[in-house]
Amino acid sequence: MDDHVITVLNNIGGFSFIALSAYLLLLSGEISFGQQAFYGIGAYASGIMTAMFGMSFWLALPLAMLVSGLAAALVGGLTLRLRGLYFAIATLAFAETIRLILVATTWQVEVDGEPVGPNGSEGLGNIRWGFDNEYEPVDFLWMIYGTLGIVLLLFFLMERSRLGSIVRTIGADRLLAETQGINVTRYKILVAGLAGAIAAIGGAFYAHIQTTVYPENFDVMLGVHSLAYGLIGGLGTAVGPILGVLLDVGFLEAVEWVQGYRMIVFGGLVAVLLIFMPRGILDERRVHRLRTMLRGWRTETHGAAGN
Amino acid sequence: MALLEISGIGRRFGAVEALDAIDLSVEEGEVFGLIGPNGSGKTTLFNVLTGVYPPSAGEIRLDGAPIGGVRPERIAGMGLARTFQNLRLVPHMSAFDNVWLAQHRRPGMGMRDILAVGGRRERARCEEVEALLEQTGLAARRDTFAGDLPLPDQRRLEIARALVRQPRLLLLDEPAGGMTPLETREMADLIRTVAAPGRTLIVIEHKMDLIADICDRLCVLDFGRKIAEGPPGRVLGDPKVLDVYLGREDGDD
Repeated sequence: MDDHVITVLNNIGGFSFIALSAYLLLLSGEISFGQQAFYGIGAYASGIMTAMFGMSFWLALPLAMLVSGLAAALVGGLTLRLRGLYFAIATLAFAETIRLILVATTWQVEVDGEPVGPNGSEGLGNIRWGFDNEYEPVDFLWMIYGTLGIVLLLFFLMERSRLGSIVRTIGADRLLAETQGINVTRYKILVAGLAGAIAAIGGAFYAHIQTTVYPENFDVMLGVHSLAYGLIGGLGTAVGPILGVLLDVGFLEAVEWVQGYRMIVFGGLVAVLLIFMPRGILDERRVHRLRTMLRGWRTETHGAAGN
Repeated sequence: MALLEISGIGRRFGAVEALDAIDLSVEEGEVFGLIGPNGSGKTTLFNVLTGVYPPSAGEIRLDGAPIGGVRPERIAGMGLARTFQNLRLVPHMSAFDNVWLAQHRRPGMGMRDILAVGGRRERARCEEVEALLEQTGLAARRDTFAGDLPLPDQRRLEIARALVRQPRLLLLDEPAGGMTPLETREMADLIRTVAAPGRTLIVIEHKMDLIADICDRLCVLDFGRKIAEGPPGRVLGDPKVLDVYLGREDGDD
């Protein structure tokens, strides 16, 4: 495979995690403009662990997810009482705060005679784990898509379980959820935490492929894109946000003749879709129709598979 | 002791006294009617009972346990289920899933059941959902999106969803609202089957023939106050009731 293709595929995979993160929140009825913060926390936390403390990436990844997930659950808990636009503004403010904290933070230790660690707007460099272990971009490709496969599988299972229907019910009608006995507070915090952990995966891979990350990588445009991926691709299945990433990164960014117009085309696509397909291309109705067709082909009948 | 004991319940919205010192008690196994003109406080009373609004005054006991001001999800866990006058279904979920999702707060359901996909216990619960769809006449529509169902089916689906929780007290908010006379008769039949095994029901309804047909006792609200209570024959003949309620019926919905 040529390097350009691998880079594009790695970008698609990496952005898929933050897109899934925003998608999970969209299912629960929340629009977050702040998922880039958890992508950033994942990048910095994992980078600090491998570059400064010599940890293995495979240990740093779950730890970074934990850090980011806990931070997200905390933010989720603090913003629970906010609805709609106010929630969106609070998440944006939080993400910008995290970015500015990163700009203002310098914390370095000496590794092999060189200072390593977050250095304000100079970023966090020397994330050499991939380099030291002689990982090529194509190795990261397998790592990213293997992890993405696991996360997607968990999403599919969640959407077939009661957890999925609980999250969707909260997203559709909070009062209804409460009168059905759903503890909305508990599930909102759970969803926020899971979404934070998922975004961190993308950030961790990004940091270890780039080897240097800057606070400016995690600005609001990343959050806006991650939201748009779910809204373009559709809210009926976890494949939706990935379809959104494919359309944006795989098509608009990779195909040269749209290069200069990418943001115009992307913005137009979002606007047109929000008018004609408000819940995206793969919305609940199309997904339901596809599933019914699939079930017609298979002979087995499955009660819970009706969703 | 009565299953539901309401004493001195009040609910105020700003200067409006939506409910004013209501006393009621509903016995186990009773079908209790709640009538009154629009804006008389019937749905507000349901909202206070289900925890959507806390009461401003008074006490509510469900089987002896105080539920006034308790969070709605806790009250739902105590065996109280309701339907909504203005229909609250998840529109982009199938009829089956709308009922299925309500099973999660049943006794014995833990986090493992919330995360389970398939399994023997899950299959048994699904069969129960199918049986309720059958009972409410929705079996043929099990895969239709709730939002695509005609209104009478949506009202039936709300009843199926409430029943799947095996409630001790079921509140029906205008179950025949917007229905034709034939559909209303079918709804009356359904409510009778629902009540048959000794279930306790409180029914809000504007259709007097339905109320007279299914209720053991009823109570009339007007401007948030209780103005009459008793068996349908007596209450519906009460001149005070005829004056405030039936006389104005033509103007309503």
